[in-house]
Amino acid sequence: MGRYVIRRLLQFIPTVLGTMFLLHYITSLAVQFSGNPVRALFGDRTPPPALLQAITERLGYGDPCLDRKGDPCLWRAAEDGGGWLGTGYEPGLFFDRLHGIFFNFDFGINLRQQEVTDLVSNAIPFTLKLLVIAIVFEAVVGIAAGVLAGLRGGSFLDYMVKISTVFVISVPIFVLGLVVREFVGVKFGNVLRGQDWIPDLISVGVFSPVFKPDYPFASLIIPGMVLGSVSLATTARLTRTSIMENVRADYVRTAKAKGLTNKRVIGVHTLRNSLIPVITFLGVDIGAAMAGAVVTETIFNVPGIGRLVTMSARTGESSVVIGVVTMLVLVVLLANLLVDILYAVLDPRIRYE
Amino acid sequence: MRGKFLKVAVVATATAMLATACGSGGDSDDAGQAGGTLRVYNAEPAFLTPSGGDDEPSLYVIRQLYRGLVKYNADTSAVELDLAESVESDDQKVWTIKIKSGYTFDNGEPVNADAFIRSWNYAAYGPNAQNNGYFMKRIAGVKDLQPEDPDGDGPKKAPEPATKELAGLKKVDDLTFTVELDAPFSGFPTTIGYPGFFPMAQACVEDIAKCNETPIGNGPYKMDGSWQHNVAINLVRSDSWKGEPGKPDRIEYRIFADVDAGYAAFQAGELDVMYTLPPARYKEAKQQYGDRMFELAGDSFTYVGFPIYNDDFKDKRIRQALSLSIDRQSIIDAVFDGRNAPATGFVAPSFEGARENVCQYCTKDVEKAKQLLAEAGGWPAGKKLTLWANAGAGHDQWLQAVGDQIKAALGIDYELKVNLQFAEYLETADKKKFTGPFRLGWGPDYPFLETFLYPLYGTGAGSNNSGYSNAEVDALLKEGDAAESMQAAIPSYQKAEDILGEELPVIPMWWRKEGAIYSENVDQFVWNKVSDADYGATSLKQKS
Repeated sequence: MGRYVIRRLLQFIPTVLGTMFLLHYITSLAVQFSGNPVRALFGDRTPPPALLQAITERLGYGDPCLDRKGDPCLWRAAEDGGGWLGTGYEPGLFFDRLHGIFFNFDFGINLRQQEVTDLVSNAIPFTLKLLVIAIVFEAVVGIAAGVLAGLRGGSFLDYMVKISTVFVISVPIFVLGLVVREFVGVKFGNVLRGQDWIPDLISVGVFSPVFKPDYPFASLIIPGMVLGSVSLATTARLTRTSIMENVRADYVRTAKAKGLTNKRVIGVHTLRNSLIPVITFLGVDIGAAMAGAVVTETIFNVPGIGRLVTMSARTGESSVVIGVVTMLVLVVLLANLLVDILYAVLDPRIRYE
Repeated sequence: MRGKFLKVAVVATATAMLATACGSGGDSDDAGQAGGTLRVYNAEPAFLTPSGGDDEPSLYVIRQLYRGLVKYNADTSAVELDLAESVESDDQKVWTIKIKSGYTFDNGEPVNADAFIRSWNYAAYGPNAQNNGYFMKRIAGVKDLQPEDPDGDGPKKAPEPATKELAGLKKVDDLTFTVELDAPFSGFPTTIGYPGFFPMAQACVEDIAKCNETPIGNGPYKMDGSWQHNVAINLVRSDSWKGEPGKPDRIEYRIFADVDAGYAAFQAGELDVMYTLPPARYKEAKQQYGDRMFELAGDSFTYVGFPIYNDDFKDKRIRQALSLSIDRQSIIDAVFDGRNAPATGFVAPSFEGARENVCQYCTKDVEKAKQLLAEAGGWPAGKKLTLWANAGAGHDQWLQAVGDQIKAALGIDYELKVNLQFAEYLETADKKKFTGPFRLGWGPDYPFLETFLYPLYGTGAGSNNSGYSNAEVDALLKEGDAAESMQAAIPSYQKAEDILGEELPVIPMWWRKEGAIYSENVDQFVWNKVSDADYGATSLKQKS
């Protein structure tokens, strides 16, 4: 087990370096082909060249390789001519970035001279809250619907769950998000806000069309539900199939024969076993939910990681994109490793050598 | 529901009557009552320091936190003294500024000559990388703080400036200092109302990062807590402010990543003011909030420039013919829902000294266009006119309409070149590499005619993207700069504008109409013609 974990951890290194190089190359190409983003800051006012140069350098876009189209920015000509091992070249921008990130925990600054690490630490709490709401919603509603449908296969309820999950799965999240914001948050919310007997927490908090700092948790509930609904269908159907399979299993029949109450047969014997694939799915789904958060956070104005990535990709802030996506890659890698290890813990038949 | 609505309407009418009654009472308070919390829409500011913030969301916050030497009249955009006792000069080159005594920063530091000198030096010093360093360009000695790259092609390190202080700034006594400019400029007093010229405390310059998070202002409002990035900025009335106090007790800036989300929040009653609108919702908003929508033909200029460095556009008759074939109003109606005002001159209509119909070639006249084109020898046969704009900013549609109109009027075929991102597009402009008419815009830096003239049309000026050069225009602009007062300068600038109207280095297209909406809670909404929505002066209805 220990050796397995070490081997997996070692595999992280090429994965992370590869991702970072790709990100580095893509963002460098963006600067090389679409121009210095610092120039765009000034807009129609042409800045004095000296000032432009000073700000360009300060923000980390000063490397001459960013002017050469297609240059991967790996090496640069050494200033003193000697360079690395006498080749006349020394490590370039990519290695500067690696050095900054891994040795000094310095992810660079964005176009507004804010540290990327600060941006991320400000944004993480919002995204975490959103993810928790999404996963809880997805698990509770998805499993409940799956159990109901699974126990009465072919019934009206089963078809209703089937049809509604197809509906949810076929509406793209940005459409769902916009529709919910417009009709639930604004239109329906305005009706609620017009009624005096409804507490503010509900009318102003939960049904706020966008994230509201006064109600930091309540106003995240609806965005979280929208985010969770993407995988709701998969959870429900996975539970349904799993339940249907297990209901016919020998041990369930035995439990029934023993005369256990129906509640106990379903709740303990059937459901518990049926949940293993569902829990695995929910674990893996965190990665997918992060992708959904990019859209949901932008629509509902949640100041989390997803909105941060959207904004910085729009303005071409290389350091933010590289930093945040590298962190996300690490999170997904660690989550996957954890899930793999948990398999061994849950199922004694699985052994890692 | 109905009952509730009626009640609100009655209260609104009563308040309106009360306000009118107060207004007709003469010297009593007709500018609305103080108190309440004003919740406003904002995007995430870039910086909250006077030296750094040059974008709209930053300026909206900075203008309430800080105050400068002068301010602008909301209706006439005239310059009025704010912190300054006087701003005077004999030769328009050396200006003596006296500051009123008794003003302090929130941390108790005095607002004196040093506070201004410190702030301007800090902004101008190249290695500080402050966006408003640009605005110090007129002050003598600025080149020493922003040294040019010696070998001209991006060295590894920017050369270290020899000095950190602008040679043109001299302290006379605690409350007096002099500013020496590179060249005389009669409009100098108008420039210093821009937030880039606001003062900074010593404690702020010493720890600029902290001061950006929790600004130390000198204005009518101060920070309540620190800047909650991407979430909110809260201001409360400052006790240390000695001037006219702000109306609301509290201003809350809610930060939105996109304007559509902000509009949804406004519809849900979470915001009191939105200074801008999502273009797609304009018609709906106008219908729904008609009397609570504020509109004004603003000073944001869109033009189609000519690359005069290209032989095809050297003849002014070609330029006139192209301009004459465009029907601006029809494009504005079709593409922008009427949200622009056609331009017939080069200076914003709201400016003192602006006139209509300066450009004789800015209304559609196909016959005259054809005649001028023929006189100029026609357009090269078979050559396509390339129309340039930057990508992803929604310019394709109207530029295509311009191309279609030119094609219909003059038979010149066109192609659109709209694939460059903004940064590369601007670099193309800076390097003068356009091959055909190009879209660009301009917003004024200060309310003075010159801001629309020299930077765009002066020989070798920074944003003169056409490469236009006319000795007579240059001379007239200089004459205006050296005039003994701002009033006296206007005729010279107007003469220069007349020449531009004849020579057309650019085709003036339109002025953007500013549109803001405000909620039922707002009693009087104040829009300053220069600095836009003035939250400190906007009053809320008071519950009695």
